[in-house]
Amino acid sequence: MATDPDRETLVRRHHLGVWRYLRFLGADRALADDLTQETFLVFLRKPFNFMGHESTAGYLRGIARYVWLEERRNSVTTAELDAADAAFAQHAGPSEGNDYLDALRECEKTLAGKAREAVQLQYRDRLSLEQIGDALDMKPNGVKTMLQRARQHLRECVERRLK
Amino acid sequence: MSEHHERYLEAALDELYHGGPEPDLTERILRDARPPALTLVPPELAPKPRRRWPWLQAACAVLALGAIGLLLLPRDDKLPDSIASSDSGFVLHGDEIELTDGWYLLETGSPVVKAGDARIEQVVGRVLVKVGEIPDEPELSAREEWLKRNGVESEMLNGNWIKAGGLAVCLLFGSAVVDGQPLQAQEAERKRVEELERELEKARKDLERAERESREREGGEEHPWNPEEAEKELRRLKEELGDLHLAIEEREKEWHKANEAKDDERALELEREMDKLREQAKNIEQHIADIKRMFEVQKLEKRVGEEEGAIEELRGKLEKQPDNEELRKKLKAHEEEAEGLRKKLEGLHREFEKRHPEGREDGDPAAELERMIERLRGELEELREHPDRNAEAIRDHERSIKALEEAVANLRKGERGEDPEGELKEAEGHLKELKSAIEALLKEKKAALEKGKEDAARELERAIEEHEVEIRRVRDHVEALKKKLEEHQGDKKDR
Repeated sequence: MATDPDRETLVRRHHLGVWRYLRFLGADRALADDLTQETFLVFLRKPFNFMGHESTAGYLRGIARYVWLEERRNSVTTAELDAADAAFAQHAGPSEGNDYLDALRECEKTLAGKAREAVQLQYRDRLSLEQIGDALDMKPNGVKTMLQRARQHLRECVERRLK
Repeated sequence: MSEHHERYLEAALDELYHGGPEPDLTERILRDARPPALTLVPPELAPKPRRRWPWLQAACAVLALGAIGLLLLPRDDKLPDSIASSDSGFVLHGDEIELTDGWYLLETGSPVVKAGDARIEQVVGRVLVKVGEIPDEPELSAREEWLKRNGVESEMLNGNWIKAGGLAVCLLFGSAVVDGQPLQAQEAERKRVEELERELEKARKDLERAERESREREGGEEHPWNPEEAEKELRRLKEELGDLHLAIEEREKEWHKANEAKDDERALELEREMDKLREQAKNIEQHIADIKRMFEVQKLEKRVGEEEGAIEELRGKLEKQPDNEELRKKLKAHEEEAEGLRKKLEGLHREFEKRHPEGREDGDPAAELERMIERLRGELEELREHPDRNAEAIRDHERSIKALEEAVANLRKGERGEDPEGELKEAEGHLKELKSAIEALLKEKKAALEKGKEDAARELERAIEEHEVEIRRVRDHVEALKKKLEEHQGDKKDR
């Protein structure tokens, strides 16, 4: 009979999923690090019966949700969180976002010309629409539209690959 | 759901370009989650105490030079990494450790530790040991950082020290045998656990309260009607409404001045502000009306109750005096009164439901977005209190607010009337970009095929196909917009 994984294995296996969930909820990178740590500290303090990794991931997200609510206090509603939970579970899937990220990596390569440049300038270099416009010799509105299309292309491409 | 997918995609793009969490996150979690270290922890960070026993140093020196040097093999070769230190003041004797200097934290499984005649063994839990006398405040302060790093709070140590031979011993929790005497854990750790439990309980209550308040704000949970609170709320709302009206009046005066000075920009800005204030006033007026209606409902319900009581009483009397016409008339009057009141009540309830079909939803997506903007602005203000720590979140919020403002502007524009011409120009621009992107992809594909990179060529082919799909979609969109534009221009002519 297979033995249950120890806590260390669970931390290593699920910390990325929890971190992604917190980023998805709106935590910046440093805050997501801190809250992931807090989530696991709560998790490790409580008694826990291992019921499989998917269930563990859900359980951990429940704690992360609690930690996030604590962090945000009154500025987030449970209804918003319910909707966000469902969306995260749908997009991240059982791999807790690994498959999505792999698909996105491939799809990003299929963006061509200015669209790819614009995406990189926005998300890699964190430039504003105006700055991207200057770099690509386009109007900010044009950049905005192009980025919208690029994101749509990425979403559809990722969805196709995940199917 | 697409809004969430957008958010998920943005987070994933950020991870794609900037990576996931800090690489040492799992180590941090595991380090903080488990007891600091197994067996013996040397005070690495704390300043090394001066050796106090010259005779012992001399003895060690002699031993080191002597034939029994085996006992003094370099410690780094003999001890685990977590124990070794250049001058931590201990000597290994087989399975036992002779302490000569410093502070140590022993945990379950620690080997026998001794100093002179004093022995500590069978540790189950955690024991803090210091060679020498029981430490005083300055000594404890000097070690504070090391103690904290190892999860020992100073309050755990208060009054829990004992002296055993040349050692000062503080049993933090669990048990140990000191000089042959079994020792049980002190209260400190138990108290600490209790304190943590209390903190957790408090956090849980805070969370419950926050959730309850959120639900109440969302209108998802009915809360009991409290007339006193409602009166207070009514007074507050009336004051707020008065202030809003004053603010609107002031802006109106300014607006007239701006118009006279032909300062269109300022006038427009004031108009926007007034619209916003009027919207707020409208919401407050509605809220006031709701509260007044609730008072009326309360009054009516009370009267219905009174009437029902009277009806019951009269029915009881009539059972005993069935021929009493006077009673019968009275009963009829009360029944009619009760019926009239019930109808009124139903009317009020219906009106209320009509005004609030789904709690606070008002079906205006732009207003909903404006509420989100307000909330984000509030958060942004809080974040700006610590700009260094929250730099990224501030940027995120600013970006979100900007995007939402644009969305609101677009929605409002949509409410006022569409701009198919502008949209058409934008779509045509996008079509052009897509075409040049396909050309570039075709060139890349050709180059890949020439170099024999078939995989890359296939990938590029797929990208070309996706672009073609997108071109078809945009082309359809352009056609639809052209048609709309024609209709739009036709309408203008008709008018």
